[in-house]
Amino acid sequence: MTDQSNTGPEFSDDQMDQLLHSFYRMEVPAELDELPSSWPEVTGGSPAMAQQQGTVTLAAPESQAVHRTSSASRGLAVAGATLAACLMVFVLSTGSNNRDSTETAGTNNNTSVVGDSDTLMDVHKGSGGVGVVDDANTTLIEIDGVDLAPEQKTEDQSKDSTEQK
Amino acid sequence: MTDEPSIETDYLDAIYRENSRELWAIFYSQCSDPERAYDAVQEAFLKLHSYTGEPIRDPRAWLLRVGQNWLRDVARRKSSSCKLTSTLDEMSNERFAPEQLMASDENRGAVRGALQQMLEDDRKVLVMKYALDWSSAQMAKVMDCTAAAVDMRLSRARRRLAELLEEQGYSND
Repeated sequence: MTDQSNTGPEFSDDQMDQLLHSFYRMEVPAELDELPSSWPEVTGGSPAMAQQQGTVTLAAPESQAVHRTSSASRGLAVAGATLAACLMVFVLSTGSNNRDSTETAGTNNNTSVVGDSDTLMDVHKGSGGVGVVDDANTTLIEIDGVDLAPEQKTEDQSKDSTEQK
Repeated sequence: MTDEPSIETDYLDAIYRENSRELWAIFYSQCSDPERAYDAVQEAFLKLHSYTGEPIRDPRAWLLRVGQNWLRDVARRKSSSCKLTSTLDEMSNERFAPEQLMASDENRGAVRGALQQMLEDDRKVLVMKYALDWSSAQMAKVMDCTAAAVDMRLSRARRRLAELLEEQGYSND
């Protein structure tokens, strides 16, 4: 392969070999031996990108959690508001019932006091079927029918009073 | 669709180990600029790293195409020609000492310039032979020809380079 005539009068093949070996040894960049895993574009860029992607990936469940939390709290708020509204309606209706019962029970303050005590009565007393409110074995059902009682009572009282008389 | 790289770093390293020097040699034979050839290698591998398309059946061919396209784009943007320096004239009467001679950036630039005047295939066999230390059989496989044809081309390329250097007043005196 070495042919002196091929390289002309000035350069031998050996000389050209040496020259080219030296030349290309210097030409090959030292960085060429660095693997991509050591490149800043790969190690510095991609992990950060991966980190960003991870953040995005992680951010999604968080945002979903936030959405879930907000929807849950919204639901709780609605339920709370509904409950509060129901309680308000209940309280108002109870108050009006009490007022009605107080008005129908007469103008006597003592009666109204009895009505308040009825309101504060333990509900289990009524549910047990006993429902006794006072010493005269008056039940809540009987109290509900109190509208009719005063006239009868007054008639009875007038009868009693006439009999006594 | 995410920008998440589809190529794992370990796999990228393996492909790099297998192909980087050959790719550099081919790019270098095209542009005669070692740094630019290396940039083309880097560019191709970075593109491979961030590639998210269809599976690549032949990574070497893919990298080669990407690097060559990048070199073409760069060449379009700016002239890639290397100018011969006057250093060869100054060196012409010095004793021939290849390693000392090539230690100088200017002299390397001069040889680069001479190489650039040669055919691309001649440059390719030279870079494969002297930068990669490839055998004629290896070069023949890549260049799709016989080993004998490679030897002939190599011999012709060396002779042509010597002539070009002599034309620049470069001698071994």
